Amino acid sequence: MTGTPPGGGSRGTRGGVAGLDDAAIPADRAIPDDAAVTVFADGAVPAETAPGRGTSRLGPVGWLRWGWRQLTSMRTALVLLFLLAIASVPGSVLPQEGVDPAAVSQYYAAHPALAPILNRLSLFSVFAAPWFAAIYLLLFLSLAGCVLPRTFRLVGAARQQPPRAPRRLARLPMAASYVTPLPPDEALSSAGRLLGGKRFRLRTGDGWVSAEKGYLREVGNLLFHIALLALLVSVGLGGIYGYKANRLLVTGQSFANTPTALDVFRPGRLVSPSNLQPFSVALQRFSATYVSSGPQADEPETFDAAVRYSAAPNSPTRSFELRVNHPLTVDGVSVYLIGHGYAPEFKVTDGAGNVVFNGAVPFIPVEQSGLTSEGVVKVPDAAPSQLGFAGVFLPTAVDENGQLVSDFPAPQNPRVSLVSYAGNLGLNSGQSQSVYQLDLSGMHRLSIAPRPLAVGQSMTLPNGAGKITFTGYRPWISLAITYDPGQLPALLSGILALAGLILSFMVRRRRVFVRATAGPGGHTVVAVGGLARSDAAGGFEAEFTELARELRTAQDGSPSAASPPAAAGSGSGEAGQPEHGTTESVSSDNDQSLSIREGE
Amino acid sequence: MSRLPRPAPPADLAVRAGTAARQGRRAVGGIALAAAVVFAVAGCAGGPIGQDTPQSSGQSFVSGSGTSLYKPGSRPVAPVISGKTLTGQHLSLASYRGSVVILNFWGSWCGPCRAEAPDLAALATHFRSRAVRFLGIDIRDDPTGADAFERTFQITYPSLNDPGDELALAFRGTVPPTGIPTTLVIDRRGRIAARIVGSVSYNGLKALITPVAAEHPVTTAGAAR
Amino acid sequence: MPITINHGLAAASNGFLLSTVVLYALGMLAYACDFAFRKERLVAPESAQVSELVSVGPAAAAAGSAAAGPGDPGQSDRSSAAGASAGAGLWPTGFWMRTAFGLTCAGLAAHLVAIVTRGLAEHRVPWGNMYEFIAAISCMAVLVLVAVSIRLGAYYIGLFVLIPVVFGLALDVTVVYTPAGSLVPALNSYWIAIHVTAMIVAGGLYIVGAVVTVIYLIADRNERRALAGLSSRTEGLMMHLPGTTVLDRLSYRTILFAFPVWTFGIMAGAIWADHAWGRYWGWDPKETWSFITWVVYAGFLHARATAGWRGRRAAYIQLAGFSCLMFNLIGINLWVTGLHSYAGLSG
Repeated sequence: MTGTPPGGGSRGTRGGVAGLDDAAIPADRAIPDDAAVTVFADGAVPAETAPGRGTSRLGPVGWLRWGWRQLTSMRTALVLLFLLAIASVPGSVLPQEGVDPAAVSQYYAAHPALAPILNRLSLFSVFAAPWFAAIYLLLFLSLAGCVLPRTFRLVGAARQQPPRAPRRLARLPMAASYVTPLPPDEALSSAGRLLGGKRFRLRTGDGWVSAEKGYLREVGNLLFHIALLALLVSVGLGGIYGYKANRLLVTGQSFANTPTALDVFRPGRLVSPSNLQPFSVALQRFSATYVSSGPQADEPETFDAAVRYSAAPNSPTRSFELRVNHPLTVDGVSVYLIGHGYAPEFKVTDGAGNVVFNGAVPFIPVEQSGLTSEGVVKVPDAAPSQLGFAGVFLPTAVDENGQLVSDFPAPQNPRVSLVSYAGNLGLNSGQSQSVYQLDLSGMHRLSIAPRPLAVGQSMTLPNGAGKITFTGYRPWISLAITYDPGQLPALLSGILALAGLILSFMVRRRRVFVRATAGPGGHTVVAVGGLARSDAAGGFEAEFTELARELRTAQDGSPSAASPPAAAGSGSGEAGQPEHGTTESVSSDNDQSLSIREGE
Repeated sequence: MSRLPRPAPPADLAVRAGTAARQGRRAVGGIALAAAVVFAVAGCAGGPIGQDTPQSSGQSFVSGSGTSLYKPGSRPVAPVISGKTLTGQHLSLASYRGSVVILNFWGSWCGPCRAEAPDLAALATHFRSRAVRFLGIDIRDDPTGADAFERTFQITYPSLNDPGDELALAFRGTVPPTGIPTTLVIDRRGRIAARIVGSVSYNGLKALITPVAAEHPVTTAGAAR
Repeated sequence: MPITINHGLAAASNGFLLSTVVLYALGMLAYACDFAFRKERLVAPESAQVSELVSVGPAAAAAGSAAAGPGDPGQSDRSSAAGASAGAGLWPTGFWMRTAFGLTCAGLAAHLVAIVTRGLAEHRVPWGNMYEFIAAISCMAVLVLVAVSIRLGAYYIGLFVLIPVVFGLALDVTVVYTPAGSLVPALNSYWIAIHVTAMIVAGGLYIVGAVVTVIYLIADRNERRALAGLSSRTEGLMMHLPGTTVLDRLSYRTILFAFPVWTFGIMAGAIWADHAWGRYWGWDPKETWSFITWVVYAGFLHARATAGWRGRRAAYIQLAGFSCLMFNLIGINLWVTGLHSYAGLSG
């Protein structure tokens, strides 16, 4: 493991957290060794190392501290970020339980040997897996450990002054000098006024003025990361106190938001099922239109569910048009229309002549272009033996090469075709069954062949087992019910994060120094130097050049003469002393200072 | 490439070291707090996924059955529900005051309900003479199928029809049914003495009913706080 | 009520897109000619004032940058300093460069017309399927190219950006082509103008960033080989490109723009998903891969602030992020079904 243990006397600040700049890089990272960076080294302070530790053994505390420093270092953050990305990959290519359980079953069927191994590794529920949680928790711990001390430091240093001006301003990446007739003090105070007017933070000293601007960058940076933390907390809290549920509702039915009424109920850990918001929804009418021709034929154009709802048993009932992209919000809970289908109605008379079943049975679509739907009718109270039917509902039944298919999703020619069974459905033993599946282990198929029934037609079962009549059909809708109290805080955290991000990208931290010394002939030579921290994106040269020009104009009253390039080139080609001579030289070229540094 | 001798760091750095140390200690507290929050939150979340298996879709059972008992002094008051029975008559729980009421939420489509139905029918007969009455609440059922169910199991006690879940909703806040079947035992004073989620057995339910049936309304009131 | 597609405008759109491809291809050729025939080294002045200062001394010495001094990355970059934007426009020099840039701009104009006419034909925002999406994102990439050229004088990347653009568009108009049509109801929301637009803008920026990073890696390898005294195949080409510092900075700047836009796009997508599907994040494959892309680019930004990870390693990370992006935008639509399967290719 890299990094020095605490006893090694390193400058132990938290390595730059996603500072997006070169801020606060501890000394154990290699940094170019030059004056500019030294001037800027205010971030790297020995925080907790005791002097004279030397190479003594590390105790457990020492190891913990070392481990903590490793965890909160930039390198670890990088590694964890990539681990997070890599860990998400299987969650997107393998079917996931929480997203598509049917696909998971299919995968099991297709890969019988591999699937249980993958399941053991939680690869079918990656995002709920403990190892995934470990990665993002470590990442956020690393983040918190970096960001919070820096926040404290920022707050504590809110009034921190810029550093003193270095002696040799010419060695900074940006440097300029000019001559002014004003005496040094006046030159400096005028410079200070100008810089102060531009909202630089100032510090004056003997013969120099130091100005710094751009503290908002760190603010933006920290805001972004803290907002990410807040986002995670919001998501977590939403998951704990929120719930998701599904309910399939046939036209004419209504339901209330209680556990017994929900088809699927997924509560968070601290949700009490007895305290769900007590709204109720009744489906009055559902209509859907489909594209009838052209390249997008059979695709849905509009869905529209007319519902009536009330927020509580004694609240007034209101109407609402529920559509895709247009959910119902009641009492803080959102109800979404996520699917629809058909529920054919059947009347079953048993062998004893009693009507034992008369109602709608939701069938589930198995394909989208014609909405062919499959379903099951269970009649457990038929005598002499229980009856079961499995079949298809075809909204627009057409004969295609001897096979009956549905040509269009709207019910233009509805037909039902059922296979009949009799025997023991398995319900009486207490077995929990899906209402969409028939357990045939105790049933035998009846000898009557399935044939398409139109509305009103019946099928008489052999041996006096009974009769089933297709009496009609009604549409159903499927609703997703979500309650997530962390949703709004998550949104606000996201917005704050974005704001912080933009702020930290747009604001540059930069420093400008001005030194005024009395020169020959009664004039004052003013040297201006500038340094931008993390100016990898550029932009500071123009600002500095403009600033230098303004300073000169303010102190001169006359615009400066443009300097001949040759003078500039030669003037700074040596180990520069731009403070000599009367020419203005704006050496805004990196390589010149580089060449200076190189020369030494 | 020779390097510049590094100039001495500005004097104010030393000053900053001291404040930074103090800030460092403060920071540790902040970090500990943040870590605690993050761990607590993420450790608790993550429940929702995985509660349902592909086979369980289409049911209304909330897994996790169990029996809850309420001592005489701390029984929640049962809401006074009323509605239409499967035969169309109007019935109210208020008319059952003074009897022990066994309230059973059921549906003809529900396997465990069918399994316990014979036991309930038998218990209804057994307790008839002792002012213990049974009342069913039929959930998500069509009336014809419910009728056929009662015929099959020879259920003699009435059941209220609850197509819109209003009756189930009435128990919100007290002792709600969290799955089907759920059976509530309501004492003579109209307070809920027990809830069983899941199918009941003859002996098990009988053992719950007997002490409640033996309670005298007056003594119960005296024993209350 | 079905929406009638204006087939005349749709056909016009197809025609314009075809001419776009031709114009870009010609522009590519012209850029290549510029490299081949340009005599003096292409200096990429990124600020007007600097240009006069660099013409003597160190800049001249850097003409043979292959023999540059010590190994600090960026030492060999004499010509452009810190890449400050001049604020004023910078125009190309030389016949071939002017021709190339003119052709590129003409192609861009045709491209924009193609997109607009398609939108008018369909009476909706023209990014509802893969065909339209690729057309839009390549348009954005060329827009970024033109903007970067004018504002920063970075004309030299023209050839390299146009290569994937032309390739992508050629595939788009042939294999991926989908006739004009209406949106499926799930997409029929004003959010498409917000979420998908943001992804397109960010995508175009990411494309340019990746292209510049590839050039950077070639330049970096070139420099290292030069330092070792070896010659390199790409020497001649690199004579016309600025050194690694400028390229690195340019690529960084595009990512600085792209990353917040991508973040915003993800957030807008989450808000839309909540409206449409009932949850703002469900680990749908497209959502997951956009998250992965975000994380990798965040890693890139972190790497640039970590010693030992700047330079080449950061460049590789950026390319990894770009691969994730390409898989996200194209691979997911084609190969993985999820709630986002709107490629319009199947069925």
